[in-house]
Amino acid sequence: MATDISERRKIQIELESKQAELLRSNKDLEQFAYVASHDLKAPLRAIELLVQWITEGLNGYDVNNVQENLGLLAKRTTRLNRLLDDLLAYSRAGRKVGAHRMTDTHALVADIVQMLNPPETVSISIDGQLPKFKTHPTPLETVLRNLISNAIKHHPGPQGRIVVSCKEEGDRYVYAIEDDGEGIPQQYAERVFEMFQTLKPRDQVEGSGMGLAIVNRIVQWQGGRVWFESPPSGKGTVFKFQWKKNQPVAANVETKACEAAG
Amino acid sequence: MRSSRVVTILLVEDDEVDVKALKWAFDKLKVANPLVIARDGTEALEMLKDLPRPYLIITDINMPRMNGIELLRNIRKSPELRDAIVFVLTTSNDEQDKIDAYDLNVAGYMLKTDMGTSSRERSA
Repeated sequence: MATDISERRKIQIELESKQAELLRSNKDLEQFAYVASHDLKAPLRAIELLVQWITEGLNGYDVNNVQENLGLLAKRTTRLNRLLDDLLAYSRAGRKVGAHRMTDTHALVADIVQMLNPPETVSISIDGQLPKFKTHPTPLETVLRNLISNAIKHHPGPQGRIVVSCKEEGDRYVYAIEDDGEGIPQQYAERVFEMFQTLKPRDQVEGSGMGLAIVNRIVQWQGGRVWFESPPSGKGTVFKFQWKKNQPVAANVETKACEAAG
Repeated sequence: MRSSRVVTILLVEDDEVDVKALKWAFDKLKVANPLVIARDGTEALEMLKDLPRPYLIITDINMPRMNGIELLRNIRKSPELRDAIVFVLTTSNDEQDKIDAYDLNVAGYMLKTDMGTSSRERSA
């Protein structure tokens, strides 16, 4: 009799938790769809306007501007493409988790730097030896690549210095990516991680505004958090994130639902 | 503060194509008022410190650093700026944005629409 009740209670708790997760998932999807359609419309609208102005220009009104407008048109179509790619990457965060295997994160960062091919004016170095441990290399690579790429992109001066390091803290590692750029005011502590949020207009610094949203989603999926601080030197920013050691993490509920749907 | 009788228009807009669109519209309508551009709310607040009166502000909502609603909130909180005339010009058809804007006493809330065929089709 007692076992019966505790079984039922267990099932009930599981049901309630699944229901809460589904509700949260639906709310996420709604917000995602709103933000996505809204922010993707911007370059599309610009394309419509530019096509109209180019048409008018070619009809003899103002031929000089046609060249400039064609340039803007090309930029906007590229931007739209990138937004869509990054949107897909965001939706995959925490779903396409890949294998769980022995990963040399020191070599991983070296590979990332080589692939990003930073200009000679930016120096990227690793402080100490980054750990080798069992994890999901694919999402970890995405997080590291986005943070390092941001650090490269956002240094205002002619010289830039980026340092990657890692500390062990109990059952997790804390990675740090430090740059000597402009720094980010703490008032933007939450905004930078939102979808499509940029700190500079896209016409100044081209970027989808999705990089940190993707990083945040992945880091949270495996049970950690990401944030930024001012480095001890006071100049620049250091982004830090927590990454679980050795523990395989299941892909999100959405994956299972998608797989079930076939 | 220096006073002049020509109304300066401060446009707060981060997208250069949207800035062009407004300039184009002003040209067509033969609006010759001096036009000053800020790329987001933060820059707008800086510029408002020295902007000669009279002026009116046209602002987008979605912008980096400080969006249009936050800008409006800061304008209404400031004793020097609180009586400024502000219009919102945005793509956002969101009910909450409209409510927030009117709660902060905007003079008007205008949706950026496509000029040309689609608006003709709509009014047909």
